[in-house]
Amino acid sequence: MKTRLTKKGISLVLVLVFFYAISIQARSGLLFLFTGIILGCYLVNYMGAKRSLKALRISGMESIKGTENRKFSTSVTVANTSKYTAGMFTIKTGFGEFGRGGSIEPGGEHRMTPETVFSRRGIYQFNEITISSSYPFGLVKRSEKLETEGHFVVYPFVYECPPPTAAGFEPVTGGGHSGKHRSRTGGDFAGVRAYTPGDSFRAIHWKSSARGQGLMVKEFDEQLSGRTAIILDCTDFALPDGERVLDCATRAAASLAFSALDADSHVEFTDLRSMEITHNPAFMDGDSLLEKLAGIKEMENCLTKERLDEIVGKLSKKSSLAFVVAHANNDFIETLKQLSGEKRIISVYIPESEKMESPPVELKVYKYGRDSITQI
Amino acid sequence: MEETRLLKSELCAPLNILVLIGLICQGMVWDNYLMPCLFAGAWLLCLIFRDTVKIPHVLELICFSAALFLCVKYGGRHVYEKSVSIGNALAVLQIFFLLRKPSPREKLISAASAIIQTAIGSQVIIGYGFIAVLAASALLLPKVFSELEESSFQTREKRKFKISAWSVTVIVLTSLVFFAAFPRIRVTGGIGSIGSAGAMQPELETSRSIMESGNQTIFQIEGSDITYLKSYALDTFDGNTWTAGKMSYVKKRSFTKPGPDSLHRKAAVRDLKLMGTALPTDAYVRMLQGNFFPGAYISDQGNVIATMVWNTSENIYEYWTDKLPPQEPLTKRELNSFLKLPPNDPEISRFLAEIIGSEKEAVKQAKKLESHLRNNFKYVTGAPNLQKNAPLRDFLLVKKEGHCERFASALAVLLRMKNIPSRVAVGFYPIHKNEIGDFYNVGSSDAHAWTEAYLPGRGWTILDATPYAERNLRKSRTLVEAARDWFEFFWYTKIVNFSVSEQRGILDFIKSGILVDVKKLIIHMLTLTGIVLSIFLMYRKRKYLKKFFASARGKKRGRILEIRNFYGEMLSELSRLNLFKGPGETPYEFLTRIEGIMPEIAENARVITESFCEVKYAEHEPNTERMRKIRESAETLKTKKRRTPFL
Repeated sequence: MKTRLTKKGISLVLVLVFFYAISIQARSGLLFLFTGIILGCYLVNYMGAKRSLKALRISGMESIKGTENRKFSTSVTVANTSKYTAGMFTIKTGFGEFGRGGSIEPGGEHRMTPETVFSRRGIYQFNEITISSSYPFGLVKRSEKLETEGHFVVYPFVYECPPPTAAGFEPVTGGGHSGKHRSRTGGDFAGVRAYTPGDSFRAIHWKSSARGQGLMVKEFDEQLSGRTAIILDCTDFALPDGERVLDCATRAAASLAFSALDADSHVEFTDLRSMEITHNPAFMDGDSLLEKLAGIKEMENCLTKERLDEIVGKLSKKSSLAFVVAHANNDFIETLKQLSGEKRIISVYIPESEKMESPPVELKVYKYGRDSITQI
Repeated sequence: MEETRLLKSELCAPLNILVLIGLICQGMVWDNYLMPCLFAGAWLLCLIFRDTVKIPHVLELICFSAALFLCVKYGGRHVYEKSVSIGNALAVLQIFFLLRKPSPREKLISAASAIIQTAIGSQVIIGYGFIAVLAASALLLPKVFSELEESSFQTREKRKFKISAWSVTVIVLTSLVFFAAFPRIRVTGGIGSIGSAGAMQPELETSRSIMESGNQTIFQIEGSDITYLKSYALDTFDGNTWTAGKMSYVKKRSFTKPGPDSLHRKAAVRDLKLMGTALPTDAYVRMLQGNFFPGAYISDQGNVIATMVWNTSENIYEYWTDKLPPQEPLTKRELNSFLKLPPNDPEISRFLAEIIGSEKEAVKQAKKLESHLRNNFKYVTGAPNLQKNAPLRDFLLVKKEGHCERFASALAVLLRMKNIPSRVAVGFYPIHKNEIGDFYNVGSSDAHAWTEAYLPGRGWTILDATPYAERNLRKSRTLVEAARDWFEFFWYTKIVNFSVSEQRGILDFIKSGILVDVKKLIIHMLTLTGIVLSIFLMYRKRKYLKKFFASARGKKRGRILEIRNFYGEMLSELSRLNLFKGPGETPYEFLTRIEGIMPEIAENARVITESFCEVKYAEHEPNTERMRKIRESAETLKTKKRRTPFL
């Protein structure tokens, strides 16, 4: 535990020193009594801060999730476990001030969202936190280091963009795509038709049946869900505007994945470093995908023919392929040509500053920037 | 309505109250009550018109800078006076802060300014009034600090800091410990001069009569084994009057560092006019300090003279003294001076010879004379004047009674007649020890005269021929007066003028007192703990106490109402018989009328009327026995009414 004077405390100590200097020519010793009262406040502050640190319990520091350049959305709870009022605390991690709170009533709680803002995505680990309290007067601050393991998961920023073209549509209840077929159930009402034997009794549309043209049954548009595979190139270098290309690529990949998920597509995600595939069925919240994207690290020369072939082989054959790459090298162009020959639906995403020479004709090429994707 | 509520909350805000206290303290620097009132008025007006008057920051800065410049330029010569004066510039700043809602930083500056002004006040408000300032500070400062800190956390809900009993206890105890233990340098001050005249004149007329004087306290003194406090020594006798010769005013020696066995005394002078420039001291003074004179010295006669005195809010002097005087031989000039006598009276010589007899030794001769006078003469105040042409003969051979001055004068003359150098000392003999504190109240009634003789091998020795028994018969002070004296003495000597010597005393007590008198210390500590605990428990259980007192009050009120009710019933019954109490008629007058018209109910009516008067006018609570009697009387009255046809 460390004890130190706050700025306010130091200022007041200077005033007290001034008082003492005055007392050299003082007419009465009452100044000492008055000064003693202020010093008493220091002592009460010291004891209060000490008791406050004992009383405060922090929970929810294990995993704090948020987005780059944004405030964290996860809240941390600080509870006062004593029967006295405590608080006026500041929590610090190795990454700066985490948060602060005022006084908490006995048995009460204070929920706070971290003040720390990270400018880049990533997973930031910490092994200890420092909690300090200046309760109740802010003249003396007591600090204590707590060995608490935790991490900040900083997701890449997700922006709005058109979803990548999906393929391999399959009927899925609640799927966002309309197919050619009609089904007996669903959310998209298509119309009514005459009753045929075998139709469910529940499907009868009583209102139209009442018109006297015989029994009519309801029909719905068939609901389909597509499949999209997003492949991320882990090559990293600095872009002309100072941004790291991998950060921009992860943001683009995340945005594409969420856009696809919003379009009720099944999203398969992989990166060319780990080569692990994450399956994200439609209607999923996508947190696990963001967590994976937050932790992606760079790998030099990962955009090779071998790795591309390997990963494409692992992915579902029905899926469309969306390549988010740092640059388009020969291996990549060759792979694209090969996949075009196999009639795969492919979208390619390259940085704004990069050019793609002689892409296959049927290929859709997009350019991604810091927070946008545009089609060429 | 909303505005009133807001104004009320502003007026009750701890920071604003602290600012008010600071302004009042600063106002007191002007040494009148107008400025504190003006400052307080300005405070109120600023809060009423808060946010309505907008003053540009630049103008505020210019005004404050101008005020600061004026204070530094014209605020006295010394650093101390300038520092005190700067508080006025801070008052200007406070006014500006009060006119608008200050920012957190400004609030902090405002609190600091208020603290500085209150500190300045501690140098001006030296009386008991400062207790209120201290109490308010002990309660307000924690609240202000807490609010300032809470606001820096920008919490949505505003919590009011509740100051707990333990916080106040810690603050007060720290303040006391700091006050007692913190090293201090010196305490000075005071202005003005009052001259040198005092109650204790350097002159003594043997023949005149002295009446019993009042008991006005001149000073209070503390210290162990205090006896004769000498103001002047009179060495010249013309046959009737003793006067202080030049030697009484000639500086003999300077003060030296007190020795390890030196006794410490501290005196608070309550009436400087009565005391004059001679500072009463006992034994052989080695060191003296005080705050109402620029310098003092020890004269040839061993008395302490201040060159000049002036009245301050608290006139304190303290000195260190040795019980045994140094063995300094008298010079020839001194010897002549202390043996000089008017022509001898043969009758006195005979009287002297009779007492001394064949005794040759000076010490024994002196003791013999002292005891003779003390045992065979009578102490009387207001005794008739002596013969002016031969007062000593009249006293020694005829009257044989008188006040201390006659005894001292007679003994000094008799000693000189036996070639023993002597002088008459005038001063005080403190006997009124305060019943509560360990100090003496020395007043005009303690004025005394005694003899000092230069005895071989002993030096200057005190001889007091005045019979003790009679002299000690003085009226003692009441407990309330004693408590007031104690509080005054304690406040001015132990709080306002708490000095290094007190600190040393505490240290000595810790060093020796704890080790030597552990039992006493334990008792003291237990008593103190008991008092603190009782206060704490009373504070904690104040709700129950309130209830208890409320129920006691309720009982009393119930009885009072019952008695009034009986009287009311009695009046009501009598009114049915056309016996009305007149509007200007007192209950007793009405009772006399009842006794005349209806003697059969007079006794019961008397009981009820008397009880009613006791309750209503004397506010006496009737006891149970009295209540029983009243109820019986009321019942009898009703029974009689049923039996008696006209009732």
